Amino acid sequence: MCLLSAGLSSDKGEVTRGTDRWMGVGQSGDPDAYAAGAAAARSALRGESPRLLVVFCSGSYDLPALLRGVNDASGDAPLVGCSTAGEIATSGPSDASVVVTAFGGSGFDVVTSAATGVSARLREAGAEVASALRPVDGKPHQVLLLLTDGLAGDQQEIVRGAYGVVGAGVPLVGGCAGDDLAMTATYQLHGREVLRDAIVAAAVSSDAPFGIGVHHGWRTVGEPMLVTSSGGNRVYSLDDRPALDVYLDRLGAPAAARTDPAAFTRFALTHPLGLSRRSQEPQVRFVAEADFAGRSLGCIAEVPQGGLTWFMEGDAESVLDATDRACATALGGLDGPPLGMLAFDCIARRGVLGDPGIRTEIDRIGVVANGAPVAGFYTYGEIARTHGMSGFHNQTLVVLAVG
Amino acid sequence: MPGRGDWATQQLAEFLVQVSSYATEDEALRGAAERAAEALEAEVGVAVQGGRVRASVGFARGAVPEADIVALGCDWQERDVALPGLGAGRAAVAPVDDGWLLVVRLADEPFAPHEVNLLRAMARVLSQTVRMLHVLCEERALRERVERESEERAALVTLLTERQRLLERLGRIQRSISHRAPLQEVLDAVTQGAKDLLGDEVCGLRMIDPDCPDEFFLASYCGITTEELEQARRGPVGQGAGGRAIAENRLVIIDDYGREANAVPVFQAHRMTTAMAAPVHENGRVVGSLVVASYLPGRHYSLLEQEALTSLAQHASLALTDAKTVDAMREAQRAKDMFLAMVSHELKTPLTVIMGALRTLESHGEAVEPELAREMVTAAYARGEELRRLIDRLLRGARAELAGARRAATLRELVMTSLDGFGQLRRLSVDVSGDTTLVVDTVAFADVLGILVENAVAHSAGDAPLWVAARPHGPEVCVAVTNPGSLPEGVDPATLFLPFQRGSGARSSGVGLGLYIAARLAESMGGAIDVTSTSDRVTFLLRVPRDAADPVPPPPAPVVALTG
Repeated sequence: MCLLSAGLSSDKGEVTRGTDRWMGVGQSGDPDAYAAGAAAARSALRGESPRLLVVFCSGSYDLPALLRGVNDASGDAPLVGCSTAGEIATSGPSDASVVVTAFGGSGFDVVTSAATGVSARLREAGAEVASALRPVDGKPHQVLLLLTDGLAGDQQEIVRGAYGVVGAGVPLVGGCAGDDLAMTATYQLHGREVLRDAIVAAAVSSDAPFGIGVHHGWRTVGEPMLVTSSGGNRVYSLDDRPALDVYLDRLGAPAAARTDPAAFTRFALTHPLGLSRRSQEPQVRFVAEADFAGRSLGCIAEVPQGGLTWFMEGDAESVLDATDRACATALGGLDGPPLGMLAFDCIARRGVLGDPGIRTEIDRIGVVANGAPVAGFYTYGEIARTHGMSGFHNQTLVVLAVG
Repeated sequence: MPGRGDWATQQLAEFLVQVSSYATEDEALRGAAERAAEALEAEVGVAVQGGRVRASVGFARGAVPEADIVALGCDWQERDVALPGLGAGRAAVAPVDDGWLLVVRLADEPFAPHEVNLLRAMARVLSQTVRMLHVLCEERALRERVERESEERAALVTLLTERQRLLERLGRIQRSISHRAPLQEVLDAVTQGAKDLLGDEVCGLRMIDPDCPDEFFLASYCGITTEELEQARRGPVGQGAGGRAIAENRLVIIDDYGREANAVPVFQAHRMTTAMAAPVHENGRVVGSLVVASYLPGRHYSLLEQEALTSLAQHASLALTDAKTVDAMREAQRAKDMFLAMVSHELKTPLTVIMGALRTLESHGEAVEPELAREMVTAAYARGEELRRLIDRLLRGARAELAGARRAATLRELVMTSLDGFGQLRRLSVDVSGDTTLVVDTVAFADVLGILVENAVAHSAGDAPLWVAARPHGPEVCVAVTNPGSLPEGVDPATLFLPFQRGSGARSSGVGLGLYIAARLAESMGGAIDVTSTSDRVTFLLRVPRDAADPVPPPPAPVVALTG
């Protein structure tokens, strides 16, 4: 099932081969935050002139100390990053670790930015970080990496804000920070700063193309429901009944999920909503939380009032199939083997695959990468605008292949 | 999943809900361009209206090729296009009122007929929405104008009502003043008027203490608790808004009383928020201030309120000045009555002797012994002389032209001439140092010195010695007249020179004009008289320039002395 896929670069012109570009990934599970950050950074720094460090780490770390470790090792190279619901590296998925990806060499140019107080001004903040990145040009291929607070509100508004500044010429990619499914607070990292309710971004321009693949592997089940009342990313009623009641009753939710927020989130991980879209494939909406008093559902992005929605299901086979196709699509955008790959994998897919399954998934990505380093994290939402305008996804795997 | 028709219906329903939620035309146009592009998976969405791009998405900020887009027109439905900065693509367009809705896919993927139809339906929804918003916008503008006008009328009515209240209140105060109501009553009416008109919790009229000009006292107040009154009844004159109004002689407003450096402590402790004060004058001189203050957060004084407090303060000034004038008039009347009584008595006493002598001589002239008759005539003559001197002195005190001709004389000559005859009355010790020459009104000089010696005689025992010492001192000459005794406790020396002031122990029969006349004569010579007193001696010191210029016109008499 392919929702969005495209080989990407803003300009299909000549690629300057042999230019100085390198990519490295390092991982550490050292419980000492400074030591973990420094060790992961040292492993990732495999060449001269680091241009960007991308840090994915557990929010359980002392994040300022972790950033000190990374920055001390890199000499304060530009840095963006976020907390996760699990980290991905070439060696496999992990929890309570830090994964550092380094982009280096004169073949890359990077500018980073951050915006805070995002939840009250999602669209404006998206435009703000994108505006700060405008000076990046001069190389033929660009991508805008966005790492956001998935708990801040309708993430599509952030994408709309960034898109309104950079336009269709620059693809957007990234993911929403996680907090190991606590659903209370996520962190964004910029330089030596640890931020909340923020967006961090990096505009990366390169002598070689980027490729982005987006697939989810979910399918609709049952009859559609009419969204009779919604506002932004909150769904109040379905078929004129309280949305939470319809959701729990139609899916036969277990008793714990009807009263316990954590149990509800675990249940909802594998029971997203689907929205009808032109490409005949539904767009997935992750149900993040429930308002047990108001009987409404909270999603990560907008569920339009007046539209139809479906319950969706997936299994290990369909999810892994989507993994293969996302990787293939991403690589299809390159002119040769990848320099490295970044994966933004929804935490809900982890729920479907289970621990053995996610190991298999990362192995498959590693095979496709053909020895190139792989990094990523389990997200609360994925960003990939490759064509059209919609760039925010749920329950999806987004793969960025760096040429 | 729905089929194509269902999908289009679904997208149209979502579009309708979204576009109809916008409040303005600009928002609706932007939202429509964006939602149409999202629904049709196009990278570019544009709303053109009135020959210009009203909204667009898909271009980098500041890089919208407006002329190229407008040139595309809308007389087609679906075609290839080339957009500067983005390259080639497929486009679909649908007309809206006075414009069109355009979407462009940068991939080579044509728009299917049902997608073009969906775009046309979206464009119709947008047209309807924009029309509705246009009407709503006009209605809103009309409503806002009506509301604004209504608010302005209400504000005008409020303003006029407030002005009417102010005028009525000022009118009542003016009537109190013109009816000569007691001053305290008028001042209380002013403070109560300020409280009623401005609505503040605290109002006070503070006055500079004339006996202690560095301090103020509350002459009238309302809204002040007993505790506050105890601490704020008196204080340093520069304190608070009232103090600043006095110091700066203008209306003063303190917007943040909590941060005011020189606030009245008890009010600051009680979280007073704002205060306003206007100066109060008496005969053009700042003598106090009228203060209003509030504990309400965000209290702001309007121009009308500032004007009201200023007007009330001016009425307090009017009342104070008027009361002072009335007091002066009453005092003058009292002094005149007293003067007439005293003069009548003083004139009557020698007249009685004269008339008695004359009547005796008229009725029994031949029977009266010649010796006795001579004594009677001599006594009558003496009394007549006394009467003449008395009348001369009274007339002299009343005349404005005190100064006479100046001439040169030595200090010794002047002093000794002036004291001629006093040596028979008292033991007089005279000490003249230096043989300096003066150019003065010698008559006035002699009069002053004579009055001072007469005063010393009148205020000392009959056998007590008197001392007169004269000497040059810089450009002046000083003549000190000293007698045993002391000034009564608490007596202000300056009051000794007011008219009709008679000391309690005076042994003379004067009317209390002597020192008053002496002071004015001294001033007419460009000099002055100072008084010092110890436990056993009182000294009057006359200072006169050695060579006075033209005579100084005497100051006007503070009271009417002899007229009427």
